[in-house]
Amino acid sequence: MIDHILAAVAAIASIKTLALMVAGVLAGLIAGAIPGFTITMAIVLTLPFTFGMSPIQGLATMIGVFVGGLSGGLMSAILTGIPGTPSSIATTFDGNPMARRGEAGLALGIGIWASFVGGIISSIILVTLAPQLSKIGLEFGPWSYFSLIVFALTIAASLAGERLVKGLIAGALGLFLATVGEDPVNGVARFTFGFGPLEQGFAFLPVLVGLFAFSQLLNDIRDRERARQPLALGSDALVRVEHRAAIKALARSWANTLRSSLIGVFVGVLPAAGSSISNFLSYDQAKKASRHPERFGTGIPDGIIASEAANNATAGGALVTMMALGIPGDIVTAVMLGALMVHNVAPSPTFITSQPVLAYSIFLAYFVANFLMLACQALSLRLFLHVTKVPMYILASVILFYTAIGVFALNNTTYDIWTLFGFGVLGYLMGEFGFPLAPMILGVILGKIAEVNLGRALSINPNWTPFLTHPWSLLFLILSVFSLLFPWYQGNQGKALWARLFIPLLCFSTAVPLFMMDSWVRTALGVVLCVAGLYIMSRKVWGAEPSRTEA
Amino acid sequence: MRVTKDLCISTLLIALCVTGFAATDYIRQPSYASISARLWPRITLALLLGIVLIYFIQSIARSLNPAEAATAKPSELRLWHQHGNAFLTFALFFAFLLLLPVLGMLLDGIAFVFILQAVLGESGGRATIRHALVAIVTVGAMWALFTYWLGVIMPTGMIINLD
Repeated sequence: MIDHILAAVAAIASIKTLALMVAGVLAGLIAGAIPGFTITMAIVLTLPFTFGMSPIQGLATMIGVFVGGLSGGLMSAILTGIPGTPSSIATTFDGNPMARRGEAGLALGIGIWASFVGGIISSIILVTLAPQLSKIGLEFGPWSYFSLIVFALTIAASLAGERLVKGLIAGALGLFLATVGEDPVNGVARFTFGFGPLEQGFAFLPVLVGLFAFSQLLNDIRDRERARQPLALGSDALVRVEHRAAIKALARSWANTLRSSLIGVFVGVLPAAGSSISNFLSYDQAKKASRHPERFGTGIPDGIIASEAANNATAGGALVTMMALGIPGDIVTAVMLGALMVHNVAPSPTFITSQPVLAYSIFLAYFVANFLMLACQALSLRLFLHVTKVPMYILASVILFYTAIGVFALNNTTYDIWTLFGFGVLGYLMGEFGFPLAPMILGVILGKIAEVNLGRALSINPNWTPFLTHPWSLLFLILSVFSLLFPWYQGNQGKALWARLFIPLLCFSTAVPLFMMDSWVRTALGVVLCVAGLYIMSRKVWGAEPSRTEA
Repeated sequence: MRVTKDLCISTLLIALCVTGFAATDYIRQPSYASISARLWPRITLALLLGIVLIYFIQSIARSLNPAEAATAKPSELRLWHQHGNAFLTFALFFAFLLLLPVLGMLLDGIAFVFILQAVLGESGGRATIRHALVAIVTVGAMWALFTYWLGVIMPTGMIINLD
């Protein structure tokens, strides 16, 4: 292991790799700071530049963009009140009021340092948890893998909340679109309608850029007035980041920092759940745990700490799932997964043991990127102030061309640009009609993996019952059912009897596959879950705790 | 009952599923295959159809509900105002793609970025010069980067072979 770590250090510590990472972090910071330019878009736009690099350099660059993007969102969130990325929405609640009070430097400092601490905590968890999780992943057969993908898709759909049905349609549509082209099991052409280029199917990058970047840019310039306006900050004065005061504030709120970081990691580990959720979740928890919840939203450091520590920590958690299981932890790691595939690397439970240097290089790159982010913040703040003077329509025009040239570079074919255009139109229309895009992208990415695993499963045993008799597969299917029911549970929480039974039933159901596993630790965990289920049921159903409506 | 957007989309999606199912009959069945090449597409289509039918029923229920139907009034008059820039951008991108084999990536790219800025942005002499400069510098730089640094062979075009 030490040899692998040393080899990874040698790979990352080269001048060229570090320079590329600095460029990536800066690009991420700027892209993350510009409202409308998500981290996903920044990584997607970086991907074509990495084609000519080694896998380690390419991935280190994109991890730099990832970490930079997560932190960049806080600049515009605090200074303009407009979140640069969805992962920093909760940062605006307290960051912007602080900036308006004249404490912009302190707010920025707290955001930067909270991001850094969250990132470091999650990178430690990444290094320790990913190899362990990949060992568990080795127990998965094709049945469990298939069920895990089903679980990831149901989570992505259930995150659409009230739009659950549209989320599910988007996910299923993504799965269907992934079947166009050559069948990955038998090599047979499908749904080509006699059109030759369709035999190669839809390449991942043009689909992703089309659905996300293209449609998002069009949304940004849809309003004629807004398209012509620069992202003015109201003041050109450069804000001085107050590092010392920020570190003191963070030290005072260490419990909040730790809790928010752990929430971030947990959300990241869940397949398909990302930093756009973790920042809200940790903000909510920080508010509930605070002695002065009424001060949240008025401009207090705890609000910024909760949001920023969590969103950066999510990255490490998402990388854990991607590295250990080959399943993207969120939409950004879905892009990273695609990037790995472009570099002929396919993450799976055997990835860390079969390609240890690359795996440890990714761990290390994530760790180093957090330090680079800290160092690059001051410079990026200056660059951000310049970028905000450029009208949106100029940025959009140039980036639209860049998306075209970028996807062309993937396979040197204009067919990919047509794919980009087609999915751009589709993404725009889906956005207009209220369909979430994340489930569809996951469907496109995971569709082929699901088909391959289904093919393997049915080749081994043409019977479908192993999907229910393999413990891990059963666990994921149970979790899929509960994640599908979750939006209804949220709507009826404390009202209907079934909603009060939801959590206890979840505990009892998930305990069943744990009892089926051949390990005393898991059996003990199953017992704990049953006890927890009984305890919750005694409080919520048998009247020890009055329901909300009754109260 | 009002014809709502949701009702139209769900109907279109049902049509897509039916067409998809019909198209699966034309998927070749190789003799060596251990599982059918039609199986997975049919599973995804069945799944899609099942959810779309729920969506369809929900859409009908909504369109029959007078309260919801009243709030879901279409805004056709504001269609151009709301989506004009998007339509123009799509049209220009489509033209860019059609002209790519003729003009090549460099010239076509410059033309696309320049015209798109002119259409979306401000008009006037200074703005036009600025748009032209932005188009030439950014597209030129990007083209040079991909051609010389990354070694990508860009479409050369037929009229003026500048690439």
